[in-house]
Amino acid sequence: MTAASAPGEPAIDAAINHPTRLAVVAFLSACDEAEFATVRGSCQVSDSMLSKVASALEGIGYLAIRKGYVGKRPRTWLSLTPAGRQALALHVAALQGIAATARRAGAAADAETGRS
Amino acid sequence: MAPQENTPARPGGTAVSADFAAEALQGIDTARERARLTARLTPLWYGPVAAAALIVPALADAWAQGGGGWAVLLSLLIAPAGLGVLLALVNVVRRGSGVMVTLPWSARLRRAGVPLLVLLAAGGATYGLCRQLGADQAVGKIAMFAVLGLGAWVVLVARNASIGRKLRVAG
Repeated sequence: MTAASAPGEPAIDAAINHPTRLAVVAFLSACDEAEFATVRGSCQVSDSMLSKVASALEGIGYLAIRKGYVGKRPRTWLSLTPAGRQALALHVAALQGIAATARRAGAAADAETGRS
Repeated sequence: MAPQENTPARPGGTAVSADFAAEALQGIDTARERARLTARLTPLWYGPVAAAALIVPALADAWAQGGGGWAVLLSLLIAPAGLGVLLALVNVVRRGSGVMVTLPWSARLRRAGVPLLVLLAAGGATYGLCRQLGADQAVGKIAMFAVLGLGAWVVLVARNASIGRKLRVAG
């Protein structure tokens, strides 16, 4: 799922690179578990889209889906697995690396322009 | 609305530009902040229930003072029952927001410490004022628990409103 890199090293993860998937995974990373409807509302995606994203992420072991009841109402709870948390951490580290490199390049270019 | 799954937002799968990286990092922070804020929301019904759980035992206690043995027994049972209801509902409240976050007790106390101290001080002051004005102990206790119960309700409503504002800003 990740771009070519050694395991445990920061890398852009294609499985969570899409903004919708990234929003869902980031939201879940800040909690133990969250109800399907809450994630849908917070990430501003449709029911079917969140179902599709959740199933895909569950398929690769990044997300766990738990079905239960609150009273008589069926509820679905989503949570990030340890693998999902690690994938997000590596993905974030890779993004931070890209952003930092761009900042350094920008600063170097500014300095170059100032000198000439 | 966030880009849908079939939108080709980032052609090339793992090829990410610096702008995309910065935007994605900001999106991650926003999503995490939304989750934390949502977890702190309290269901609307919890305020009145908490107020009732604090006020009813004080009323029952005052009523039992004029009654016989069984009334005293009932008043003794109602106070722990009220506390039990509040504690039992804490878990329901945590699930009610739709987001479960486990916080250490130190963090919970830090968050609830100031309003709790203010409420206790207000309750104590009310009791003292009632006694100063010549009210008997039962009336003082009812007034104190009314202040605590209604105060808790107000605190929860104010906290929800504050979180709602922050969520709108974060959204």
